[in-house]
Amino acid sequence: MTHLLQPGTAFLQAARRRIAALLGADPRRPWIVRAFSRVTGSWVILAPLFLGFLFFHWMVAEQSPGIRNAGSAFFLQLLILAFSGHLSGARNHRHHAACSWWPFPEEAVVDLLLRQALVRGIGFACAGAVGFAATASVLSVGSRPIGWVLQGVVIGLWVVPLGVLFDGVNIRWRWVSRYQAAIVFSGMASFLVLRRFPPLGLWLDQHGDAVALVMPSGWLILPWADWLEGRASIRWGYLAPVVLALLALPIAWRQLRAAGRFRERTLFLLWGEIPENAPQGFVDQIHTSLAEAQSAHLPGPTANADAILSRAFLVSPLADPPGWVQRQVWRWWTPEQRIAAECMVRGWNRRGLADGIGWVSMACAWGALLMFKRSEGSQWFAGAVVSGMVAIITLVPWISAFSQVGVIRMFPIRLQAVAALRWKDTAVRCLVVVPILVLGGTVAAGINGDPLEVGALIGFQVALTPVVLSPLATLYGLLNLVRLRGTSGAFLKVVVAVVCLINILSVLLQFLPLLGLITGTLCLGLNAVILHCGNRWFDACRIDTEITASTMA
Amino acid sequence: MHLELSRVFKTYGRSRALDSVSMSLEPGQVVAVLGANGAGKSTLLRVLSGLVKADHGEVRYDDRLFRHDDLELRRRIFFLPDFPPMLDGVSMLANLGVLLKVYAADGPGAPERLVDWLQKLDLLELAEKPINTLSRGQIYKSALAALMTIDPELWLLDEPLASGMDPRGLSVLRSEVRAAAARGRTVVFSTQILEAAERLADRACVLHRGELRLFESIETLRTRGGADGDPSDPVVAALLDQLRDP
Repeated sequence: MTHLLQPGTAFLQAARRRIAALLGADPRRPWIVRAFSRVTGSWVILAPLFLGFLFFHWMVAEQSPGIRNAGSAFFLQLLILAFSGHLSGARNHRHHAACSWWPFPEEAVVDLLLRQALVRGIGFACAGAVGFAATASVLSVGSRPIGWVLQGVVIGLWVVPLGVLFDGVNIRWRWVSRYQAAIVFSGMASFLVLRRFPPLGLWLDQHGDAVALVMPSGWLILPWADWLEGRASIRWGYLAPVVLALLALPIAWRQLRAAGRFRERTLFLLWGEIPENAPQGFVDQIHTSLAEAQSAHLPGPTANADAILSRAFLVSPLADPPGWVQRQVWRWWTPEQRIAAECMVRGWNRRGLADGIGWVSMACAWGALLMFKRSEGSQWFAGAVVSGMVAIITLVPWISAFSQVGVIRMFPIRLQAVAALRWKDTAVRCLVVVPILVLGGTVAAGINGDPLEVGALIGFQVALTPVVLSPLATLYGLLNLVRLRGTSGAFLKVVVAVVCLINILSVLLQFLPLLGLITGTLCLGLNAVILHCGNRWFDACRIDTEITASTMA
Repeated sequence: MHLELSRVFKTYGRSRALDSVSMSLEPGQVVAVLGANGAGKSTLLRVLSGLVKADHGEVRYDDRLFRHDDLELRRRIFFLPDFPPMLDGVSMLANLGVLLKVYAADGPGAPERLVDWLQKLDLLELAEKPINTLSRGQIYKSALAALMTIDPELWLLDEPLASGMDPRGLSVLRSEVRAAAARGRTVVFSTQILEAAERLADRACVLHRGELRLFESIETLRTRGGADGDPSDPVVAALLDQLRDP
C-alpha cells in the first residue's frame, strides 16, 4: 500500500516545498505553517470538487436567471467560508506566536498568515476552476456546455480575491466567520421560503439579482451574469466596494498588528479604537476587577469542606436533566458512559442549544427547499444537501468535545464508551425528530400535490443522516487527536478513506428515494461495525500522545 | 500488588525507548527510576500504567497479563504524569469528583479523606476555583490529593520532585509515600535527583538509552555506583556521578 501512495506523496511534498519557497525564508514561518499544510492541501483539492458537484447539480436544474444569480452568490459565500475556516487554527497559534515569551514580531506572523491565504487561494482557485468546469460540462451535456464551463472557471477564480479579503477580515475579527455563516444560512432559508409563494415568487423571479446584492459575493456575480447574457450593464459599479475592501486590507492589517498586543480585542473593537492608543491603566483596571469579581464569588475553606462532605461534588452535573430528550439519553447511557460524558459534555444547555439550532435550521431550510422545488430531482437534491448541513451543525459540538479525549485516555475509561455515548445521544435525538420530519415532509408534499409517501420518505432520510454520519464524527475526533505514533500511517489513511467514502456515498445516493433509504440504513450498520472495531483497536493498541501543557492549562 | 515485566521493548519510530527491560516488584516497595533525559523513564511508567502498549514483552500484575482494556486492573493503578491531565474549564473539585468516580473510589469515607488531604496540601481554599486558573504546582497537588484519596495499589509518579510543588507539598508526598509502602502499596517514581531517591526509595532502577543497567537496593547502589564504589558498569557509574554532582 505504501508504495502505491509514493507518487502522490512525492507530488505533495514537492508542492509543499514550492509553497514554502513562495512563503519566504523567514525562520519563524514553519512554526505555524507546518501544522496546517496537510489540512490546507486536502481542502484545496477536495472542497471545490465536492461543493462544485453539489452546486452545479442544482444550478443546471434551476431555470430562473434571478434565482440562479442569487444562488451563485450564496454558493460563493459558502466557498469562501470553507476557504477561510481552517485559518482559525492558525489564528489561535498567532496569539502564542506573538506572545511575550517568543521573540516573534506580530507583523511577521500576520504577514505570514496573509501570504499563506494568498498562496492557498491560488491553489484553491486552480483546483476549483478545473473541478467546476469539469462538473459543469458533465452535468450540462447537450445544453450550453461552453457557458457552463466558463461559469465554472469564473467561479473558481473569483474565490481568490474574495477569499483573501475574507481571510484578512477574519484574521482581524474572529467573530466575522460565525456571523457570516448565520447570515448566509438565514438568508438562504428566507430566500427560498419567499420563492415559493406566487406573488413573492414572481417578484423574486424578476428581482433575484437584487437579492444577490444582499450577499457581498453577489457584487461579483451580477456583472458576470450581465456579461454572460451579452447585455450592457451599469452593474460593473458593484465591483467598487470589492476594490475598496481590498484597498482597506492594509488598514485592517495595521489594526491587527496593534490588536495582537491585547487580549481584550473585542472590547477595543466595540470602542472602535486602535488598541495601541488605549491607556494601559484601563487595561490593568479590567484585569483587577475581573480577578476581584472572581475571588468574591469563591467560598472559603469551611464552606468548601462542607460542600465536599455533603458529597454534592460527586453528583454528575448532567444527572436528572430538565429536558425529556436528555433524560432518555441519560437513562440509556451506562455508568461508564455517563462518566465519560461528564468529561466531554459541559452541561446540557450549550450543547442542547446547538442541537436545537441545528434541528430548527434543518426543519426550516428543508421545508422551504421542499416547497420551492422545481423538479423531483432538485427536491431530493435539496433534501440531501440540507441533511448534510444539519448533520454538520449537529455534529460539530461533538467533534469539538473530542478535544477532551486527550484527558480521557489517561483514565480507566474505554474509548468504546466515548463513541457509544455519542452515538446513543444522536440516535435518541433523531428518533424524537423522525415523526416531526415525516409529518412535515408529508404536509409539504401534499401542498405541492406530490405523492405523500415521497415527502415522508425524505423526512425520514433527513432524520437518519446525522446518525449515519455520527460515527464519522467520532472517528474524525479520535483520529485527529490520537496521533498514531508508531503505527502504520498508510493503514490509517485507508481506514479513513473507506469510512469517508461510505458516508459520502450514503449522502449522494439519497437522490434516489428507495435506494437512498436502503443505502442509508446499510451505511448506518456499516458505520456501527467500523466504529466498534475501530475503537476496540484503539483500546487495544493505546497510542502514546504527549499531554501538553496546553491540555493542562 | 506483585508486578513483573519481562523483556519489554518499546520504540518510537527509530528511537528505542525501552530495550528488553525485565524486572519484578513486590508489594510495599518504593522504586526510584533514574536516568538521563531520554533514557526511557517516562516510557517505562507509561507502559506500566497501560497508556503505552509495549511492542514486545509482557507486563503482569499478580500473575495476570496486563491489557489496557482491563479496567478492573487499571483502577488499581494510578499514573500521575508531570503535567497531570485535568478537565479544562471546570473547578478543581469537579475534577476530583470525576477522578474519584472513574476510579470507583467515591464510596463512604471518600469525602472525609479528600477534605483531609486538601487541608494537608493547603488546597481546600482553592477547591472551587477553575482548574485553569491554578498554577502548575497547585494542579499537581490537586492530582496528588486525588491519588492519595483513591489510594491505589500501584502509584506511578513521573518526576514528582520536579513538579512545581511547594515545600509543603513535597513534605506531604515524602511522608505519604513511606506510609503507603508501609500499607503494602507499591510506589514507582522517576527522578533526576539521586539524593531524593536515596532518601525515599528502597530500590533504584537505572535506565540508559532504554536499557535497564541496574536494578538493586539503594544500599547496593550506594556501594556499587559512583566514584567511591565498584565501577562494574562504567555507564552507571558515570550517570550516578553526574546525578550526584550535576
